[in-house]
Amino acid sequence: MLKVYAPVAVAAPFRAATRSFVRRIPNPRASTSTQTWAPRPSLFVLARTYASYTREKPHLNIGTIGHVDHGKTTLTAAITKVLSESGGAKFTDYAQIDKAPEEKARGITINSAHVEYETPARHYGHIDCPGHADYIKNMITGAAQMDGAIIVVSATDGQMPQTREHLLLARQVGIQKLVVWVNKIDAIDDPEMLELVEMEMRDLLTQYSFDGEHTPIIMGSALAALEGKTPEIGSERIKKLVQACDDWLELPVRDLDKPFLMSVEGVYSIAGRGTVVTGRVDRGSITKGADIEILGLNDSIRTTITGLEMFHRELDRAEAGDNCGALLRGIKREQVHRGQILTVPGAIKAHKKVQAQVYVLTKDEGGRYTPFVSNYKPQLFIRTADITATVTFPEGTPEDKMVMPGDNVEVILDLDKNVAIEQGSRFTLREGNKTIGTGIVTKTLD
Amino acid sequence: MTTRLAVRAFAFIPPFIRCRYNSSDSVKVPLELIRQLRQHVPAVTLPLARTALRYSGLDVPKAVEYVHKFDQTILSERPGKVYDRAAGEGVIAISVPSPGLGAIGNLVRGGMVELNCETDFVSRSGAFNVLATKIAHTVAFFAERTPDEECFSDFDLKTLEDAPLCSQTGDLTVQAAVKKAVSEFKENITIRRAVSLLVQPPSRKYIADRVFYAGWYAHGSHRSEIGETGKVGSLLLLAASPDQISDQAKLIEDMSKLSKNLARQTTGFETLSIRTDEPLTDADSASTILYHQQFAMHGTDQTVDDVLQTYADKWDIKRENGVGMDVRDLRRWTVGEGMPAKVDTFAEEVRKMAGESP
Repeated sequence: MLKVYAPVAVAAPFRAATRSFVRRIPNPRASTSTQTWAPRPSLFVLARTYASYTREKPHLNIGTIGHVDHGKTTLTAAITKVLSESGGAKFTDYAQIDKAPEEKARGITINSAHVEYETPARHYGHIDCPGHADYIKNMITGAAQMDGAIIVVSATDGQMPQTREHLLLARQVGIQKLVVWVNKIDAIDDPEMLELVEMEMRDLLTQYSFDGEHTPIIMGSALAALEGKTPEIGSERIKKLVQACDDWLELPVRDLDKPFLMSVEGVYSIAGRGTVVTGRVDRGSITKGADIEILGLNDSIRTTITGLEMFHRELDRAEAGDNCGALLRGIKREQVHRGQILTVPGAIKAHKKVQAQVYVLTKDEGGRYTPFVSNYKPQLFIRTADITATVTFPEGTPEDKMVMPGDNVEVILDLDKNVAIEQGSRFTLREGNKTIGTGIVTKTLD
Repeated sequence: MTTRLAVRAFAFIPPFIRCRYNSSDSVKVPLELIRQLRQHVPAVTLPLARTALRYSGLDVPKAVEYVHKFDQTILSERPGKVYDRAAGEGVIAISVPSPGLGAIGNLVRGGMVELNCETDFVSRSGAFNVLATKIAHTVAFFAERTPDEECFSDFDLKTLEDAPLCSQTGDLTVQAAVKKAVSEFKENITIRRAVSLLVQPPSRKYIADRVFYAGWYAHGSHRSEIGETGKVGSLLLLAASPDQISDQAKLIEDMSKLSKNLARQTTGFETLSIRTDEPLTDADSASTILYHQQFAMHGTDQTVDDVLQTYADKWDIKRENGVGMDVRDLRRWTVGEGMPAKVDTFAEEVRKMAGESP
């Protein structure tokens, strides 16, 4: 039922093979492949994955964060119900969130529920995790990253001590904008109380560097909406909430709209034509004749793409998700290596030191059995690159800090060689043949 | 029957709370005052804040008092539905007010508790961790010598609940403090287990040993002067029997460092026992026996046993049958161990609520 949107898949092989340089490439999978040559899809696919939906509407993942008793479940049910009733939207299937392929392979278990619904403008994946640790794991693996969130607060209690933890979490997982739902207003007889709840929430939002002044705060009763009673505080308010989500929460930048980046998987030398680099376009797009930079592994060269090819067919343009070959002007085979990237000059920089949030796999997930301490040296894998890293901790961490399997931890990674990496880059940490951790860069340092 | 119970319950509620439900009273309460009150007592709910201000004549300090008085009476009352919910998150808290050699009377006194709550949002919050540490401190403070002088003894939870909470101004019992936390966080919070560590040398139980030192470590980030909290915690007793102590300060330094590292080791590596005299069958079982583990937390490739021998040699101590320079006993706890795993039914519940068929 659910399909992973995996842009690697390409339709039928093209038969009309024109004059091609790729055909002359020694085929690494010649004996098994009836389909013409295709580079092996990278093991570390960085594409975001979504549950099945039609791609006509822009997609946004949102989550509900709030106290167990404040009505997260009721609210979610009310949203789906109200949207299924109004003409423009339809009630879609519930299912466990689809896992990213690499996550499936690693068997990381994330406690996360997924519900979907549509508004006339957007398609929403609604995520709910039972705890802080699960949301963080979600963020690190990118399984279902939240782009925005609805903070649920009960009008009877107002903000609670753990509301601060909720906002802190939203900050940690990189959410820029929130919508607040003040629930159970039917239990409050004095409108001034609601004003107070709103005032306090705005203060708190500002304290945690959200836009407290403009954040939409919608008040209503999810239960009334669900039971179809008093629409003025029920379904009408739910519609208002959804509208606020549509208007206020911003869509994430699609991979296709980001600057071009292609990871180098293979380098071949073709007699009479020059050096061809094969790999997968991670994001953005490029046209023949464009200036590019080869970056990473302590090396940076500028050159021009003189030819692009996919499945024996010459292309004018390659875009995110394509596996292709790029012919480079004036470059010798020895100058380019697997693990480097091709990019638009200046779009991304190579770094040797980064700060990152890492989830350390448990032994049940195939990770380590034992803890590690400062100066641990695993291999860092990012795209096709494989670099030795030294793990230390940010300043102010106690000296006897140890990291146990199952921990979420903030680390400093010193890399052997520099690599094209930026805030938000995902990577894995391995030791021998074992994946021991997976992480996301929070800051580049050097 | 039900009505009678309800009537009795109502009669039990002290008048100053009952009045809350008297809606005829409608003194206007300025928002600013409610805000001020909530800054003094952050966890107070809005209706209670309003009532408190009304009944104290819009005087904030008096209202604070009112809220505290309300806190005191919060249930010895009806256990609400909050107590039915599963509490599988939480922390292990350890407090060791007196670590042994060098302390007054060379006394070893410590306590460890598991305090549970429902979500890790609560277990991450400062107030919850402070409460857990204080309870561990209380356990340490009220630990009593058992007849057989075992160093570790399980602390009776009923006794603990009635004990006054240590390092708490006012006369709050542990039970009242926990209930107060429940009313603030609106989550089920329970003390699952508590153990005390107590050795008063010379000990009749550990005759051969002359000096003792406690080792403790909690894997987490909350530390304070009175203890530490984390998801996994270890508390252990290191004992040594030197013939003469040439340099006490140096011995204390060695033993405190060694016991700390032993506790880190026990916490980091799944440790089920201290030592065995049986021949080992496989590598797996060896990894759970402390003395056979590589002492990684001491920064060495040697086994724990070898490192202890090195220290014994240094202090000219003869080791025999686990006595000399040895770990006499330990406890290692993980939060929620042995509890049934929580099944997340969010999507299922939403589906049911929205009334859609699968």
